Amino acid sequence: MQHIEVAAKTVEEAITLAGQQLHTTEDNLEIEVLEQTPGKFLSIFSGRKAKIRATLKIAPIQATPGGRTHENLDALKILFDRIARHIDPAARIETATCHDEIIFNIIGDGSGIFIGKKGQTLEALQYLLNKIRTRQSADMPHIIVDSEGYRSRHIENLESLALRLSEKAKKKSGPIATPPLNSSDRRIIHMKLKQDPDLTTWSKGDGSMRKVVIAPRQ
Amino acid sequence: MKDLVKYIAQALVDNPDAVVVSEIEGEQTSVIELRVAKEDLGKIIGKHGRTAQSIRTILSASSAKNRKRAVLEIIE
Repeated sequence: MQHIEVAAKTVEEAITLAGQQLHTTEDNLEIEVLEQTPGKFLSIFSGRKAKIRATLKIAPIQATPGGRTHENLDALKILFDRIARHIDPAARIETATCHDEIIFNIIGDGSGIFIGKKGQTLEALQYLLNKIRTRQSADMPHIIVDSEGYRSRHIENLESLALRLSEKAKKKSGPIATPPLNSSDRRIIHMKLKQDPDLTTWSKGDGSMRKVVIAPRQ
Repeated sequence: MKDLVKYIAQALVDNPDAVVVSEIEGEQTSVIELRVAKEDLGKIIGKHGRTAQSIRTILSASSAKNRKRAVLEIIE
């Protein structure tokens, strides 16, 4: 039986971490607390840790939805591994789960071969994998393909673009449009400027030419 | 590179046994020909050719690393 030991600031945190590492939820884990410092706040200040042992409960039947997802995920990972190694024989794939999404992180030689111009290779890999995923099982979570931290860098760039353009829009008190962006990129712009009470944002254009318009609220 | 196209195509179609990939090697560029069952053609091309475009993008990443250009032809 597969079990891991996890240490964190609190028992709850350790359980969450264990779930992530074993690609499952708390319900599928048997938890045994090995060490625990009394009092949540004290443990944070003293930096002392809670330690647990998490054991993966074996699914009673292989046909349970959870079990199938796991098998399908493994199959996808093997396929993705093959594709990645065809491009770069030294590439490795790391999987993680985060906010109901599966992240496939490609560790390559650092040359950005898997990222491509404006992330187009990452997008292509992600699109194809999700296409294959929906063919296998509809209930499997969405897959994100990342390499060399491109995704987080990309989000930062979009957020600073949003802020820069919003300054401009306020200055000229008129609307300003972003370059054409895909839906997930547009969403990042909308979300970033949502809290600003002086601004309003909407999308304009069709298909691949769709942009976000940022305008001061009248 | 032939195998790369084959893996991807087989994962996308309903009839993986009908996937045939052949490579015509040239001096600098090789042409990779992909044949699938008639009813699977749409799955390989995708909406607005997006799936075909993605396969070509991955192929060009692979050819950049291997220093050999490859062109994908989907044959009806």
